[in-house]
This record gives sequence, C-alpha cells and structure tokens, in this order.
Amino acid sequence: MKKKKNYFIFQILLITILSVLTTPLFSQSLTLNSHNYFVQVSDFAPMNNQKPLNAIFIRYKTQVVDGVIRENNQIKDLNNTEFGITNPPLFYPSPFRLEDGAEFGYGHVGVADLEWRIYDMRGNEIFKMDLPHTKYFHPYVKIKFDKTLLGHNNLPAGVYFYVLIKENDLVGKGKFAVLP
Amino acid sequence: MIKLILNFLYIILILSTPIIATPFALITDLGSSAQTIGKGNVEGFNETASVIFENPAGLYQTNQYSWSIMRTTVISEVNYTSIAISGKTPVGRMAFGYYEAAVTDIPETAINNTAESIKKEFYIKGYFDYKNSIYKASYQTSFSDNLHFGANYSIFSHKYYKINGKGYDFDLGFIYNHSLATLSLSAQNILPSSKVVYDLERSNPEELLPQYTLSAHIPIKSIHIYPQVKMAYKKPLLSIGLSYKPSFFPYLELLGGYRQKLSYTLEKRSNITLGLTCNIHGIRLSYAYEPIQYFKRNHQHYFSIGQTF
Repeated sequence: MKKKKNYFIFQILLITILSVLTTPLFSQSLTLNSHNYFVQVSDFAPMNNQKPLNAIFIRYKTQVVDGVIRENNQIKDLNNTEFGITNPPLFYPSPFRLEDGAEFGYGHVGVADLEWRIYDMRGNEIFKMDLPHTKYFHPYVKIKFDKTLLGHNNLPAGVYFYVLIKENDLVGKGKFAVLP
Repeated sequence: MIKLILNFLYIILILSTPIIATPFALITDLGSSAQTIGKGNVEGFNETASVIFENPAGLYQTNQYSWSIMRTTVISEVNYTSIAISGKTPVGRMAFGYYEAAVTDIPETAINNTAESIKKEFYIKGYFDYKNSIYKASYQTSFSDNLHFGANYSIFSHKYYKINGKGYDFDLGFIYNHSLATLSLSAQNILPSSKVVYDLERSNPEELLPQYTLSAHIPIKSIHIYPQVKMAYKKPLLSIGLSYKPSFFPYLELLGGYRQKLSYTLEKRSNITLGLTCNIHGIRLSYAYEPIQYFKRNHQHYFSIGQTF
C-alpha cells in the first residue's frame, strides 16, 4: 500500500517537472498582423519569458485575429461586414497648434478604401489623403497629423473642415480649430 | 497716376519673397458684395458703401448716403456677414464697415484614457464658437473731378476657444477717371510688420501682410471690362470681370468673371464667377455664383443688397 502511494507521488512529481520543462514548447510566440495592431499571445509561463511584452489590446472570451472575431464559439468574418463608422472622426487635441501636431481618429467596422479631405474657411481643399484599408479589421484608426503630413509649415489660426469619403459617399465629417 | 502705378509694380517686385511667419488670413478675401464677386472679385467699382472693403476711394461713387449688406454661408458651416454704411459730410465722405466670419459648435476633444477603454478613442468633451471680425472706419475725399482718395483704419478681432487676438492697420486707395478707363489702386494693411497678437500662452502673432490691387474699368458700349492684378500674401493674382447692361432692360446687369484666389495654405486656385444685379429705384439686389471644391456641395451662392441715395 505504501509502495503504491509513493508511486503515485512520484507520478505527480514527474508530471509537474515535465509540465514545467515543456511549457515553452507549447506557448505561442508573439503574433502580429500586417498592421502590427492586434497581438495574440498565449504564454503559459510568463516567468520564463525574457521578451518584453506590452499589452495594447486585451479582451476576455473574445479573440480578434486578422479580421475574424471569435466570440462564444461563433466565428464572424469582419472583412465581410458592411462598412460603417462606429466612432465619429475627430481630431485630438482640438484646438491644437500645427507645430505640436494632432491625431485624427475614427472607429469603424467593415472594410473600405476611404479618402480624407480638409477644407479651409473659404471652401478650398487644402489637404487630401487616401486611407486604404487592407482586408484586416481596425477597431479604431489613428493618424498623426502635423506639418510633415500637411506639407506646409504654416496654417493660419482658424477653423478647418474635414470629410471622410467612401466611393463618392460621405461617411463622416467634422471640424477642428488651429491655434496661432 | 502713372507714377503711382510704377511704384506699385516696384513694390510687387521687392515684396516677391517667400513668407516665413504665419500670415493672418483675411476673411475679406472672400469678397465684400455679390456684385463684386460676380465680376471676378475685381475691386474698387462697387457703387455701394461696401466698397470700403475694396478701395475706400471708391466711396466717391456713392451719393449722399449708402448702405450695403452681404450674407453667405460657405460649406454650410461658415457664416459670412458684411455691413457697411456711408454718408457725405462737408469735409468728405465717411463710412463704417463690419465684416464677420462665424462658426458655431466646434468640438473640443479629449482622449478616453480610462481602463475600460481598450481603443483609447477620442471623444467630444464640449463645444466652442469662432468669430473673426474686421471693423473699418473710412474717410474719402476727391482731389479733383478725376482723382479720388480714400483711407481706412482697420481693427481685427479674432475670438475662439480661450483665445483673443487683436490687431490694427491702415488702407489707402486712389481712383483715377480717364476718358477711356477708370483706374483703381489700393493698398491694404500698409503698416510695416503689423500683426494680430493673441493673449493665449505660447501663441505666436500672425502677420498682417499688405495687399496691393490695381484694377481698371473699361466701358465699351453696353459691355464693361474689368481687368485686375492683385498682390496678396506676396503672390500675384489675376482677375477679369465683365458686365453687360442690356439697353432694352437697363435695370438688369449680367455679370461674369474669372478670379484667382489663395487658399489658407497660400496655394493658387482659380474659378469662374457669374452674377446678376437688379437695380430698382436705387436699391441694388445682387446675386453671385461661384463653384467651390467642397465635396458634393460645390456651389457657392452670394447675396447682397445695397442702396445709394
């Protein structure tokens, strides 16, 4: 009886040692999609991991990988979802100084090639940029807006207007102010 | 007058240097009346009080009193309003003008940095309004039947968010009547290195750059031709306007023109303009049309009303 008990303890110890030694083999490496936006990582032994890990997206029960959302065992391909704006396009900060720059952000589902245009207070187009989307899903897009992107060092203080266009249809618009 | 024109061309040459500081964008560049805009925004030949925004010497065309109002909305967002009144006094003509561009409900944004926000999205935390105003006080006198002079004192006010900008400057203008043509020469914002100064921390003053405009009115029977060269923000801009008064209906004036203008990034744009003026018992109703680039709303309409009596 005692021999059987020792054998059981030995088995437990052996399984524990094997588990610890083999977990690096099962843990997945850092997975990035082409936008370097979504990160999926399963690390069963984070104590053994020497690589720095910055969590930028954490979601429980749901995984989003390359445009496919898995939730409650239901698989939905977001690439085939009809395009729609989920968060209105906004500049942050607004107002801002051109020398400091700002970020332009909007949320959407689905996939579309967008065009971003900015107008001055006289209705002149002062900036135009294509925002091509690949087949991958972005929950929230952020684009740095500064002198370099604008292509001009000076922008007079005032109010400017922007539109987001998809295939000749207006999908979003807004206004922002530039400080002197 | 010829000497003045030569001096004008000389000034254009010496000022053709690149702009380093940020220029203050003059809202009056849009145009001060539908009648002027319809003629390619050729300045100085508007017969109502709003001519003070173009060339104060042009006030000689108004009689005892004159008033003018213009209103337009650009891209359904920017409301432009101009109001001008003038009157004749024993020492010359006096006029006052107000020009405003206003925008409401501009979002002030913030970032959602809360732990629940996985996207760190931007959101609107409030709204503010924008108002850019120009006040002009004008004096006009005539040296002779053919040579007219005018001067403006301009105050600039720029208010939005938590910022308040102020500046002032002067304009000068001459108009010379010749048997073949009328010449208009104006210089706006002539004070050297004048600026609009802001009260917000870290704000840089914006330069009030001079603008020089030379234009002409050449009547050929019932057709009137208006060529113009303007030096604005150190860039030459050309315009030409046409007007036609049918002899069978003298109350009506058909307008057309071509105008070059600058965007806020100082890039040259050109447009055609069309317009119509109806003059009934001294009340002048004007309409002008101009195509603009704004997405799907690329038509701009201007309306103005004025009277000279």
